[in-house]
Amino acid sequence: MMKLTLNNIYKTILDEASDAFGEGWDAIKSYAPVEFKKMSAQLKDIAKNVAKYAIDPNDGYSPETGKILLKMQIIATESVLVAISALTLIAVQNAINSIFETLKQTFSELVPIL
Amino acid sequence: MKIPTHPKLVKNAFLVCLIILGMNSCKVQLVSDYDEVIDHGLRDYKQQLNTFVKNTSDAGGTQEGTFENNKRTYNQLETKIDLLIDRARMQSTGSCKLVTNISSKIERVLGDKMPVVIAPDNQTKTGNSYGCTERLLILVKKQLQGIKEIHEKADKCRSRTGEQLSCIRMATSKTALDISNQSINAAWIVETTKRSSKQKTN
Repeated sequence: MMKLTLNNIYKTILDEASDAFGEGWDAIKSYAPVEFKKMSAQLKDIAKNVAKYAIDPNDGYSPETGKILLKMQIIATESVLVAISALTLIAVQNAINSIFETLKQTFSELVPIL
Repeated sequence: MKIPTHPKLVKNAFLVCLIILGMNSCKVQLVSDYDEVIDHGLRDYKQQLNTFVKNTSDAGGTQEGTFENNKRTYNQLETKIDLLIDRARMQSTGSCKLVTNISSKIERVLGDKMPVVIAPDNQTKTGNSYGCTERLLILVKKQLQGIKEIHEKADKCRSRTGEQLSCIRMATSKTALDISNQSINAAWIVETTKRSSKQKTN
């Protein structure tokens, strides 16, 4: 049975937090950069197509369409930021509950009458 | 178990009891539960939107591809996303809580262009991910309105008779779907992450 010392409790919390939060944070770390790259590519795409249209109106799309697509890209950026926020909350929730669960088990072992 | 009698020991034992009882009775819930209806609804919506835009784009320059002939599909898609928004709203606290330091950093970069919903002032303590889910779905709907506006007013394709007809141009369909799918995927990843978290805890 683990001894109830400040260091042991601290280590339990720390181990659990890095495991639980680490996994959630990995999801955010892999999601965010990919989406930011997509945004860059899409903005480039808009500029390229408006330029094509200026040369040949049968190609690309008009500046009017480009403007609407730009607005849509701003909305998509907000979507990504809101998603990152929600993913962070999920990671935090998982971490807190894992820590509580481990502490509950630790205390139950140490104080079996409870 | 030996009953502690020293006042300090009694106090400590009482605190331990409280902690354990607290842990038994409550789990922290910062985010709402996984919602299968929203998860599947988003998948269906994405499939329908992508097929519709590609087909309409292919029909550019013909009556089949005009805005007038596709109003019904826009109505169907709007209804579908409205139902999901309503479902999320019923359980929403009305705000979407962004982690404080992220919110402040974004505000420094965007300044007065910061979207109102994620502004630090609106990051209330009562926010949960249903606020976020609702917001994410509203953004998905806004993307549909963008495509609709392009189709109705901005894009024109020449018919065989030389007439300028409303349409979704090939180049437009690709960019518009890339952007729109980014919003749909943002809402989707939140639901799928909730699902995998739930599976892990069960």
